[in-house]
Amino acid sequence: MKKALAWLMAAVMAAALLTGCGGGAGGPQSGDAQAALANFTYDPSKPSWQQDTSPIELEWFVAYDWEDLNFDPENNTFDEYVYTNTGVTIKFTIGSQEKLSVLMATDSLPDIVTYDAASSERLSMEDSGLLLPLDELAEKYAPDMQVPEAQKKWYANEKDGHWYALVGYFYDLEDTYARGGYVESHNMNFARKDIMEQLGIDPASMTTKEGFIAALQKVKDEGVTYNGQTVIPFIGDEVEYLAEQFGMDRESPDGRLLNPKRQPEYLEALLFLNEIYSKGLTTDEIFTMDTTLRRQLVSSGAVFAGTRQNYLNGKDTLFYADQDALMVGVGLMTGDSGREAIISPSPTGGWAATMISANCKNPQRAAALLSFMTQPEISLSFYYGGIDGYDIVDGQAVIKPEREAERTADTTAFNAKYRSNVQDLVCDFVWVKAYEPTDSLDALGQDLIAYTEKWVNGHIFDDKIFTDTAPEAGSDLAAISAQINAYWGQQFPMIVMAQTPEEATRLYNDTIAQMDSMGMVELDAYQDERFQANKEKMGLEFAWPRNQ
Amino acid sequence: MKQAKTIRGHRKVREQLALQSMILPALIVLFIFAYMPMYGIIIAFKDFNIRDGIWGSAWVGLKYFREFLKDPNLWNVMRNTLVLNVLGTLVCFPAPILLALLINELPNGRFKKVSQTVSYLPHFLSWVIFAGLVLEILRPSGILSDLCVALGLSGQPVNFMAHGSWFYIIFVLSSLIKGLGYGSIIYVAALAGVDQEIYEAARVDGCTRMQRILHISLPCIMGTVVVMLILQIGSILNTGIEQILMYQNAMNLPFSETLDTYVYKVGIAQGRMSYSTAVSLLKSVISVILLVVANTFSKKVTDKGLF
Repeated sequence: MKKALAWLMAAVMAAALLTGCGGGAGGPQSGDAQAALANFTYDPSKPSWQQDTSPIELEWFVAYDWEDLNFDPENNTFDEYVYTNTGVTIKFTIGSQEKLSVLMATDSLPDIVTYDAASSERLSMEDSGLLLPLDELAEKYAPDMQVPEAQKKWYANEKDGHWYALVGYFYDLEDTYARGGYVESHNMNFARKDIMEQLGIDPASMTTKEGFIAALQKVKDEGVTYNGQTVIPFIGDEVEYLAEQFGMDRESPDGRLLNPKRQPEYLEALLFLNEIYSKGLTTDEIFTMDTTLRRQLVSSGAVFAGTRQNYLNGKDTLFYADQDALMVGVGLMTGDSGREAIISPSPTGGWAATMISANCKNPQRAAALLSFMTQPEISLSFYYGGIDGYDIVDGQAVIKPEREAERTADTTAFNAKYRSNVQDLVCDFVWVKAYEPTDSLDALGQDLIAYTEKWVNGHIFDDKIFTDTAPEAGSDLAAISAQINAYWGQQFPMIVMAQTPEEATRLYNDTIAQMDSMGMVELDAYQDERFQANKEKMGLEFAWPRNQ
Repeated sequence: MKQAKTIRGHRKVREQLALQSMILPALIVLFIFAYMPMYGIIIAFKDFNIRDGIWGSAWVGLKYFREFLKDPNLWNVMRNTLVLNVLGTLVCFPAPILLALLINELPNGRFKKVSQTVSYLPHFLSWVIFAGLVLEILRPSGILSDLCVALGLSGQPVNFMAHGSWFYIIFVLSSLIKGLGYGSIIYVAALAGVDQEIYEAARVDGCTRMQRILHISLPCIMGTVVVMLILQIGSILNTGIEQILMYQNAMNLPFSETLDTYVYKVGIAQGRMSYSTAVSLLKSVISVILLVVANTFSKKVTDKGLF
C-alpha cells in the first residue's frame, strides 16, 4: 500500500511538472480566423473597426518596463470606449527591451508589439519577416487609418518598400503646420521669474554667455534661498543643446553628416559648462543624480536655471504649488561665432512604434484596432479630459468644467478613470497642438506658447534625417558605438571638472583621439551613408536649413 | 566480496525504487532547464542573428573571444571585478561566520530571535529599494553628509557618490549590511548541529567562552566554511548587475564598470547575443577552473572539499 502510494506521488509530481512545461500560444492565425479572413469583404458604409465587432482578445506587448498599462473596460471609460466600438479586449504585457529580444529570437511575438521607432529592433523585426506590412493591412482592412503620408514614406522599409510601424508623436513639419499644429523644442533655457525680479536680472541679458553666467553669479553671491534651502544657480549637462545654441552645424556645405562631438561649438559648450562648474555655479550632483532627482530638485524650488525642458518637468509641480515660483523661457544664447541657432525639435521621427506581428491571430481585427487608435478623438481625449470630456469651441478643445474639477481634485483617480497610457503610445500630437485651448492656458502654458513662437518656430531642423543613423543591432558597429558612448560617459565629467580651460581642451582632444582609435571614424562613415540614404528617401539634396 | 556488495546495493535500489523515483521531477527539471538549453552555447562560435537562427547562423570560430580579449576597456573592467570581489570576500565572507558565532553564544530567548530576524530583514528588500535608501543617505543633503559637517569633518556638504574610488567601499559595505544576517543562517544551522555534550565537557574542564568558540564552535563548522569559501572563489568573476547599475553614475564609472555590467551594455543591450555568450562561456570556464583548483588545494590542506 505504502509502495503504491509512493509510486503514485512520484507519478503525480512528474506529470504536474511536465504539464506545467506545456501550453502556450496557439500559434499564428488559428483555423477559424483564417477562414473568416478568406471570406472578408470590406463594407465601406461602416468604419473599419465596426466591420466585425465580435468579442476577441488581442495580446499587445509593450517593451517599456516602466509603463503602466492594463485594460479595464469596467472601470476605465477609455477602455470601455475601445471595447464597445471595436469588440476587442486588449491583453497588455509589459517587458524590457531584453524581453523583446528574447521574443524576437524565439519567434514568439504576440499579436501587437510596441517599442522605440528609432530602435534597431524595429528594423530587425521588419527585415526578419516577424511583422505584417501595415500598408497592405490598411489597404485591405482599414482604409480609414489616419496616418500622414510622410510617416509612411519615412518608415518605409528600405529593402521591401513596405510600411510596418504606426508611430506616435511623429511630425512632418509641412503636415504639422498644414493641420494648424506646431512643434516644440526641449532645447530652451529656463530661469525663475521671481528670483530674476528679486535680483533685478533682465531676462534679455541671459541670451549671451557672459550675461547668462553673470546672472548665475548674482544668484550665488546673493545667497538666494527658497523655503529655507539654498538655490543652486544652474543644473544642466546638455552639451549638444548648448552647442546648437552656439550655432553648430550638422551638415557640411557639401552635404555630408557632421559628428556633433567634433564641432568647435561642442568644445565651446564644454568650456562653458567648465566655467560654470569652476565658478561654483552648479553642483557635482548633475553627474550623480538621475532624472527623477533632478525633477525633484526643480520642483522643490532649489534651482534657478536650466537648459532642458523635459528635464525640468518639475517646474510644473513647483508652479502649481506656488504660482509665484514660475520658471520662464529666457531664450537661447549666442555663441562666439554669432551665428543663428538651429535647434533640435521634439524628436520628429516620433517615439513609440506599434506593429502587428506575423503571429497575429487576426490581422483584420488588429489593423482595425490600430486604425481606431489613429482617430483624432483618441489623441485629443488623452490630453483634454477623456472621452466626451471636452467641447470644440472656436477650433479649441475646451475641457468640460466638471471634468476639470475632477482632475484637479484627484489627478490619480482621474487618470485611472478616464485615460489609458496606450493613448500616449499612439498619440498624434499634431491634433493635440492644433486644438490646444490657448485662451484658457495658465501662465506656464502661455509662456511656453509665447516662447515657442519667438524662439522655436523657424529655428528648428527635421532631426529624424540626422538621428536615424544608428548601426543595426547586433552588428560590430553597434558594439563600437556602445563602447564609445561608455567611454565618453566616463570622460565627460572629467572635462567639465577640469581645473583650467586649457586642461579641459587637452582632455577633450585626448578623448576624441581615443574615440577615433576605438572606431569612431568608421562609425562616422557609416552614419553618413545612412544620412545620405535618409535624404534620398525624403527627396532632399540638403537637410540642414542653412544649406537649403 | 565486491560483487556481493554490488548485488546488495542493486537489491537495495530495487527495494527503494518508488522512494528513489521521487527525485525524478528534480532531474527532469535539471535536464530541461539546465542541460537542454546548453546547445545554445554554440552561438558563442557563430555570428548569431534572428533571421537564420542558432543552426543557420554562420560559424566565426573564436572571433568574439578575440574581440573581448582585445577590448581596450577589458583590463579596467577586470580590475574592478577582481577588486570588488576580493574586497567583498575579505569583508563579507568572515562577517556572517562571526555573526553566527555571536548568535550561538546568546541564550535561547526573545532577544536572540529578534536580533536574528532584524539581521535578516535587509536581505528581503530589493536592490532597487535598498540602493535607493543608500543613495539618499549619501547625497550632499543626506544624513551622512550632515553628520560630517556637524562633526567638523568637512567644511561643506559631501557628495559621496561623486568620488569614484569610494564606490568600492560603498559597494562592499552595502553588500555587507544587506547580506550579513541572511548569510549567517547556514552557519547558525551548522552550529545548532554541534553536540552540546562537547561544550559541557569543555565547561567542566574550565574552558573560557573564547576557548570554546575557538576550539569547539569554529572547528565544528569548518567543513561548511570551506565549502562556502570554495563556492565563493568559484564565483569571483560575478558581481551581480542590479546593485551596480543602481549605484553607477558618470563619476564612478571608471571604478564601477564590472564584467557583468559591461557585457550587459556592449552585448545584451546591443542585441549581440554571440558576444554575450562568448564572454559568459569564458567566465564559466574560468570559474570552473578556479573552483577545481580551490577544491584540490582545500582537500590537500584541510582534508575538506566539495567533491
